[in-house]
Amino acid sequence: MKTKDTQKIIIQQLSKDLEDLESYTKDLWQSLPLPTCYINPFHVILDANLAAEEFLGWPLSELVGERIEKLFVAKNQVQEIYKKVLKTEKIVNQEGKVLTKKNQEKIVNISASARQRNKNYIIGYYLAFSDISELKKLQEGLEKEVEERTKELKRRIAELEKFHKFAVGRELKMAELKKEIERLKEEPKKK
Amino acid sequence: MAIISKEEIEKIMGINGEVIGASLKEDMQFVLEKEGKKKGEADLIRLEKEMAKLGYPISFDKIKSFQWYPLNTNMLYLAVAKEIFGWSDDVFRENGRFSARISLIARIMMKYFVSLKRCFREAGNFWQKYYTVGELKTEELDEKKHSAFLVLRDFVGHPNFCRILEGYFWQVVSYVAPKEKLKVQEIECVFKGAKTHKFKVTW
Repeated sequence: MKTKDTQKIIIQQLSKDLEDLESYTKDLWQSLPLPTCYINPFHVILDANLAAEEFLGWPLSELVGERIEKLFVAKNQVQEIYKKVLKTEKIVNQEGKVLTKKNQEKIVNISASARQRNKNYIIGYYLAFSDISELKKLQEGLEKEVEERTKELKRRIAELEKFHKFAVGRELKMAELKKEIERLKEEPKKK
Repeated sequence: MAIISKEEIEKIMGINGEVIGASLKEDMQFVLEKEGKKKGEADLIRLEKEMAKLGYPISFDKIKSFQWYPLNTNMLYLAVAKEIFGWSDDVFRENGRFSARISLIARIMMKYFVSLKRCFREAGNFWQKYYTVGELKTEELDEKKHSAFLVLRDFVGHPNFCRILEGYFWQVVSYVAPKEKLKVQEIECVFKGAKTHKFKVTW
């Protein structure tokens, strides 16, 4: 009888521990600020965190079961990522474009890491997206500005060169004319 | 007048076994997702009230994921949901698909979603994590012919639950097989005179 009671207490304690563990993993996964999905080797999304739901605009129940290609603008990038994950087990900051539920393109840095079973073989991988759209916009804006300024500078230089050429030409001509005047002034004296 | 007949309730209450709390939570989540948070919450309260009226109270927010609950209460809940919300077979299938998508148990089992063979081989293991009764086995898995059978023995359940299983199996198999042609259909049922519940899976 005592053994049964002890077993019951152990089971109750284990159940409680499981609940705590569930709560901990759930909190950890859900409070992660980086949008992250878990993908199986068939490229099917099996899980996504709250940040991914918010970033991509799809609720978890609509993301799970979908192929990850659905999120990518360049569909073949998924195979590239998976190949790299198989080879190196990790990818850090590879640029890509993803699509949100509202069909908005977002430029992201993609990081991935493999999930292994008993360190033997890969059973899936985690994909994390960090949104660099704003940064890219800023960068593109700056590049455009630099390009425009360079163009403007080139135009000014060309103008200056033209002016310089003209001015120098004029100076030379004047020097020549001065010489001519001097020569003409000298001529009557010789006579 | 009770929304479910006395005979039906007696039949359901005769079902043995237990179900893991996580499964009940999935059903609860489905109501919230299907109807939106506000209406979903009102629907859950309605369900709780109807269950209490029948003499089998259930309090959804007190359910714990890793505790076991009477399976008959789960089956009665489904029968009540069908009556008060008028759910069709397709809604129950969607309930099953939804459960598999958000399931805590499915998350534990994710490590097996790496190949068709592995996924089907773990069917029994999967079942045991959910229920203390019944035995689920895969039979005649044929990868070339793209078909398999899932056979559930020593389990009664409820016709609504059979539809939920069709949806649940569909979702899980879709993780390892192309879903464009994927079909899961119960071809033998205890409620139609068979000894087992048998599901044909094709993809």
